[in-house]
Amino acid sequence: MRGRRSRHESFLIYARFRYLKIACAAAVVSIVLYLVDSPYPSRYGGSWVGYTLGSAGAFLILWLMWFGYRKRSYLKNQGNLVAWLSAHVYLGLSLLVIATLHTGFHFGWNIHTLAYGLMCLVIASGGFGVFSYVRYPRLMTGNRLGIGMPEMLSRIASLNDQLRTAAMNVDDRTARLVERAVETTLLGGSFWRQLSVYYPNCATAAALAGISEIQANATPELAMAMRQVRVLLEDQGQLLTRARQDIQYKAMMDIWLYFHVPLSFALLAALLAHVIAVFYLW
Amino acid sequence: MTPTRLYVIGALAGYPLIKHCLNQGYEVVEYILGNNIAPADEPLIQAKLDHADVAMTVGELVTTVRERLPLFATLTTLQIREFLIRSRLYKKQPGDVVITLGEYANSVYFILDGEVGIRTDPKNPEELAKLGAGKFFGELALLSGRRRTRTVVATAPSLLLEIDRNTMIRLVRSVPEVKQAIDSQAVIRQIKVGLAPEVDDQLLDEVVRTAQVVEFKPDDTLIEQGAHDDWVYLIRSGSVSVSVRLGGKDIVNAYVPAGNFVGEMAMLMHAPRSATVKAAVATEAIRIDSSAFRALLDRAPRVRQQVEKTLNERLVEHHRAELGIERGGVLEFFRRTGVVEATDVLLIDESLCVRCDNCEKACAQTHHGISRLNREAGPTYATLHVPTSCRHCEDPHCMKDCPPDAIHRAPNGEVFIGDNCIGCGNCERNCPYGVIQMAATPPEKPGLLSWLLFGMGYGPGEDKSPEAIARRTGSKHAVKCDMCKDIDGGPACVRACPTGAAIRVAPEQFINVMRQGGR
Amino acid sequence: MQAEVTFLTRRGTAVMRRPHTITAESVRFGRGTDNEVPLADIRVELTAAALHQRADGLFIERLGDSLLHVNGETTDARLVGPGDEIRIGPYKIVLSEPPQGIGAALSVEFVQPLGDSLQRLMTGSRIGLDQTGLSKRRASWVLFVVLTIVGLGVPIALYSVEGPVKQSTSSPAGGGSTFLSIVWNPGQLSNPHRYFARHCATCHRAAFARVEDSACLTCHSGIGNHIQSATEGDAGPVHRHLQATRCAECHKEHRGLQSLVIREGALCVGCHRSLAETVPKAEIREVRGFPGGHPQFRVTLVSDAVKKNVERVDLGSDSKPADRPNLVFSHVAHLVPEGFPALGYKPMVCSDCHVPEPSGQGFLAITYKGQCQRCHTLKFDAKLPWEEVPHGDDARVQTDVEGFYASAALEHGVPPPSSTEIERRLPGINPAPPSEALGRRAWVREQTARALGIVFDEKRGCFYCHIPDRASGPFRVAPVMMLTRFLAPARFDHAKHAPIECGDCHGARHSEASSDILIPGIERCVTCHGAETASFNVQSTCTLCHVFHRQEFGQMRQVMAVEK
Repeated sequence: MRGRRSRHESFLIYARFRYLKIACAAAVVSIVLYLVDSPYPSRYGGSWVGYTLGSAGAFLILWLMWFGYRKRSYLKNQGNLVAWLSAHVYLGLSLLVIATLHTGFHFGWNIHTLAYGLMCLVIASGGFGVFSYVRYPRLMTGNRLGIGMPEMLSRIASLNDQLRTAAMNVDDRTARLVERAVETTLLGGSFWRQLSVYYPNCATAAALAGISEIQANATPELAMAMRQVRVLLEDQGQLLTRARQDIQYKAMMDIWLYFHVPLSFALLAALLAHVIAVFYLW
Repeated sequence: MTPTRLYVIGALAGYPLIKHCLNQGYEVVEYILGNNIAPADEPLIQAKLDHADVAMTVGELVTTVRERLPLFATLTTLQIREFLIRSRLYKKQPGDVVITLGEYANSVYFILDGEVGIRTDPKNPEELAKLGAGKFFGELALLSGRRRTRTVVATAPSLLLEIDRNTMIRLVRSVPEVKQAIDSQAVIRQIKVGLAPEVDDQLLDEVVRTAQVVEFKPDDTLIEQGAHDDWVYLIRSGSVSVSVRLGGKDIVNAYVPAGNFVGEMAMLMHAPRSATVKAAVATEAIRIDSSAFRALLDRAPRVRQQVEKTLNERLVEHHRAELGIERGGVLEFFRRTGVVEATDVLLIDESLCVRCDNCEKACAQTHHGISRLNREAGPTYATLHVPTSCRHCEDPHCMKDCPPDAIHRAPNGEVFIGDNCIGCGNCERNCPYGVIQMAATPPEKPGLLSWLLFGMGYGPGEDKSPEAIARRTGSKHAVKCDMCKDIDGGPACVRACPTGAAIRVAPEQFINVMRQGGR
Repeated sequence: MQAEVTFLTRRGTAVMRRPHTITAESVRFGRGTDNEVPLADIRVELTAAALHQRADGLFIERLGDSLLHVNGETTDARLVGPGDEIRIGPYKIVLSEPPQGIGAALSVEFVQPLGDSLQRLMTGSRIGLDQTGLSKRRASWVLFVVLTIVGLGVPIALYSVEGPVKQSTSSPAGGGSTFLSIVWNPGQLSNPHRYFARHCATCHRAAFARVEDSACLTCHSGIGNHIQSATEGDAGPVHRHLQATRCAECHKEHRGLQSLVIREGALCVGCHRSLAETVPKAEIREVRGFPGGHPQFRVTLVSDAVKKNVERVDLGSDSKPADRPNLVFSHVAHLVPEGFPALGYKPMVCSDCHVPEPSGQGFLAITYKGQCQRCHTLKFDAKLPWEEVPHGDDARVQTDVEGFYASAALEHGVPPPSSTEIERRLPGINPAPPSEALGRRAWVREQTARALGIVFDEKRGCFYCHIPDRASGPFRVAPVMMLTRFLAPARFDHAKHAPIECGDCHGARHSEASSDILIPGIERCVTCHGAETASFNVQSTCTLCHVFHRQEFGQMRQVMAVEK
């Protein structure tokens, strides 16, 4: 097979940190340029170094945003996406250096600093993205113990069915608790719920709590029926916990993009305004 | 009044009555009416002759085959015609290349007339082992599902008959003598290729004489650790795993595919067996007597060098196993899930995979909207995950019973389903890994930019909602991964994985994956 | 009672019926298996309801905690009859006309099946952030559009609306746009310009155009040139360079509160380090910085007071520079401790003669009338101590003295040579004219000569201080030229240095001749003044002492017609 990788290589390590090296080189060159030129009256975005850094930064921003399109163009052979992501991450970090030097450390309440601020937010959200990409996959696999979400859902559904049958012979209170637990199995929901794994109204947990109380004062036959129900509820509870945790991990790996992408479009608009403004009132 | 006649049309026991795509009804009717017509397959075989520019009638061809090819001597005309329908005829001039080293093979060649030369040394194209009329070549790769081991060129104006794999397998199964003949030929050739390509046939005689072809079922033991036998095994087809017993556990530390030999350590070092060798899948091995082998090594220093090199590598592996370096778990997992019979399998490292499904989307987008990959499904071992996607098995289960013979192996090894699929679903049922699905064609989607900017359409990926499935048109046909053989750049799933979690590996590279240990 | 109970199951349009008859005291409905009609679903209570046969008909009452639904209304218990529909949990019970001998007939149908539990689970769960209704696309569009409007659209509109500037130097025009001036402002405006900060078009006259000189000259029209303005033709590379450079290239706005006066010496040194090569005619020495790289001061001295020539001499040059004001003066003689009678015998101090001008920067010119006359009188006749000759015009002195004596002779007669007394005369009585007209003239001449001798005496008269111009006559004074400023290109502000003693810089106490140069060299300044970034000296830039735009060189730019 034509020179394909036979080892799993993370995007951070890709090609022996090739893009990290390029990014560092770019940052160093920018710093050197910045220090070498000391225009009158102070270093700022409009000196020749400032224009150079600004152009480089603007081009970088456009190229970084192009990643969203490249990621989805599958037919053209434009190299591996790993390479693109590796470059995206490292060059995005170098952008922080380049853009900060471009500002000459002049900040104020205007569209120019807004563009810079948005850029920093975009990079910060991207940094969180890298962190989540490094941390959560392994946690997710560890939580799943071999079964995927579709399988977990089937098991939960089948446990629901079993619970319905098992609760036939229990008293009304227990039946109501079980009915509620089975009818309102909460998985996922709003983005806050998915991220926080906070399910205060989990009917399964409520059912378990209620059952212990009822079991304490139950007759022997009822107790036996309730034991069965309880076992099923415990299983259900564990499965639900695993499923909810899985949802959370996945949500953590997705949530940062809901900031990264819209903020980058905000940045694009601000960047456009910044560049035009600079030359409009030259 | 004309008497009514009842004709009973039947088939010879075991002989297929209905031939695919042939209008035999016409033949039958004409025969009953007393018109002597040629069999329905006559024009087909004639077409082959015409295409190869051979001036022969079909009857002459059948005679030639029976007379010239000893393997076909015992076959009936019907059987020969049957095989001819599925074969191809070639007329080659001196210098024409018939088969090339490294390409994937699906066929065996018989020399009806003329002569070919086998290039024994890739660096020396002029060194040729000649084969004349009546001989066959190309059976090695066929039997082991591997690539061509040699380049063969025509050395004289020749007429060659090429028979494809399925037909050959049928031939081998139906006529036992054929199997024997091929076997004995193949043994010689395989020992030569696998051990001593430069060595004269005479030197190999001793080895060949004592050689025996042995079949093993999956999990059968070829070599037991601690035993004192000293046979050398040349794996002809299938693959074996090498494991060491440490602390009561069998730790697998090597995986040997077809074309390689095992068991040479004990033979060279005169020591008891240091490891256990078991068949990973159904395996055929040639068992070679060790004294004959030793004699060969004495006479052929280059062979000795080669063997010693392999021996050293194996010793290192063995030492590693003794240190308890756990790699066997991965191989055991591969064995259990059938990955060992793959020639190219998609492996996902779950510690890198962010579950973005870009691989699935890429697969769907490059294949008319149907994804041939199910990332989530499939077995997992530690962080190594094998998604449901075609493994392009060495011995493809799907190919076994395809009525229109739509499934083929491409030159680079990809098993693909052609356009003539009739949607019978045999392959889907036969595949033990569930990688084939029957699907109709989804309608065209709005372009990527429309989706990106305005949210028009479903976006990249396969829309699996019931409404979308209802909108699929046409009849269902079988779809599966074709390793993106027609797409520039290779497998789209690997190219589209942003974090580097997805790679496709061939068995030769399993050792690298094993070294990473499914971390 | 006896009741016929039929369980209905629908499959598509087909209906399966399973009737059976039960005999019991009352027909109970519930989940428990002991009920006459068991309803096997956990949505039903163990014992939910009971149907009794009473004298007045069938009566249904609830036995569990939940209310019954009969014909759509909730009830605890009521009479029911054929046609009534009772709902218990997911079951529908319809009463029908019972056959003969049977108390009640009812059909039981399970009408709320749950469907596939996996499907219900999946539809009830929103798994994945893409299911929450959050949309990256929507958020991106909203932010993009809003920021484009706010950051680009509105400012451009505001700028276009603002139109041409109606700014005058005296007062800012009304209106302007606060929004535009905040959103697009890349840096704070300098303090003096803030009053028109809302009017970007004041300086930025056109879109995509740099700030042109015409904008600055609207207010700063008379700004002086840096080199002598050229009257015609090309005055060399420096002139061309200065004409081609826009004001805004050096005076960069939007850099903060500090004024646009340039303080950084680097800008000056950029040209001044090599002017000696590029424009040798200008005779400007190489300056590389301050204090290192700054040449020794060149004082402007009078080289020829007669021809009014000045020269600039390097203080450090070997040929000791000397001022030639054509005046004899010794500071030492004036600074004697015993003082002088006219000033009350107090020792003289610098300020007795050197009077600061109103701004405090320099000093008023030394004049005879202001400073010297107090002590150095111009009497010419001991008998007439109040009579003095006018100062300044030596030719007139002669005629004045002569005229004085002539008029005295005409008026009072010529007193006899020996008489030293003053003849008194009654007013109105005209003395007899002198008998000797000739004697009168001789007397006048004699008195004039005597007086002039006194006036122009070296020890007591003009030539005590002035230099005689013998070439022009015996009583001619060589013209005097005294400078008030000796370091012409620089401004030294004496007011700022007030705490320092005059004598710390000017060595007047030791100066005996007027040719002495009392101006200190650079070495005196650098005892306190250091470089631009000095830590332990006064930070000094070029503009601390030097001026770029010098009014005396004429206007830097010709003012164009102001746009209407």
